[in-house]
Amino acid sequence: MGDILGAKPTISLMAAWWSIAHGEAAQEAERYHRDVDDYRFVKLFVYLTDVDEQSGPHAFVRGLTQDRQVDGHPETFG
Amino acid sequence: MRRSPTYFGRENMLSFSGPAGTAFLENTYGIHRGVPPKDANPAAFPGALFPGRVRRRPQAPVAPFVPSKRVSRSIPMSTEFIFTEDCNHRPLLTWTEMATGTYFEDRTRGRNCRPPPLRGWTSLTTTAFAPTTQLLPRTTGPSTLAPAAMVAPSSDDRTSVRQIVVPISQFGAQRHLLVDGDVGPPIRAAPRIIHSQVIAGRGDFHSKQAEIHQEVSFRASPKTARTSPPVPRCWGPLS
Repeated sequence: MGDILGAKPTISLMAAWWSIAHGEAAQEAERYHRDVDDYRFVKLFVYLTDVDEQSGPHAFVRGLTQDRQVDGHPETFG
Repeated sequence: MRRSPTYFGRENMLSFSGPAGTAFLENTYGIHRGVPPKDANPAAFPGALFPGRVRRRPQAPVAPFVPSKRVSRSIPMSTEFIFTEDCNHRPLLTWTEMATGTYFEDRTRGRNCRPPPLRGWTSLTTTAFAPTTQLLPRTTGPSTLAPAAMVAPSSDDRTSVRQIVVPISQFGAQRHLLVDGDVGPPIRAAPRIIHSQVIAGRGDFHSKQAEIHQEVSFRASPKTARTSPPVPRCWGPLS
């Protein structure tokens, strides 16, 4: 982890979230977005319940960690 | 324009499923999201107030708890979160009191912050300050990202001091939270400041049997809430 970040890693935030089905359009972090927490950062996700395609899995778009072209797309925010 | 994930190319879409305990690291500067769940909602989910416990929470720790061999002096003693007025899930400022001094993080200037002068945070087990009491956004509509562990003050109990057990199963321990102060219902008076401080502990602090007593203060009244936090420097001990 230190090699990836280029520095000794520190923990800056820990949080637990619960996704609730609401039947409406995607809101907030349910829309595609970037996190801009710091110069470099990595997040560790731990599922506390069983997660399948119906129960709100985490989704990631491969290959866009540097591409700023997508930031104006209406599906994204932040 | 039709909003479709195919904009990014289906071949590039990754979805992470797995049983409880599944863990992965991710550079979330990359485009990502939490897919809205399709499972049936708990029928009685009350929007913004929990009925005292979290539904569907795991019944047991999902991962083994690895005790730390020693308690680092870098364990924060208290943390204070300053939220925006609409009390969303991103705090503006975070104060952290440690044995080495008081530090703060200005989250509004996150990208410009220099690395924090904190040392010794080597594992999850040494961070006693995890913000396990989060607040729902001030809204009467459906909440999409409800905290998995949160304090649930009753709607008519604004000043009492109560002890609430919040299941922190991801750490394998229970935390007893002492709720003090003007709590108020989240819908009508969303708190803007949370102060939590470990005031007592029993048993091995880093064991599954530990009980941690935390004092949590909510300041919801406009008269007591801090309307505009002081302008801080970016990372550094407070003078």
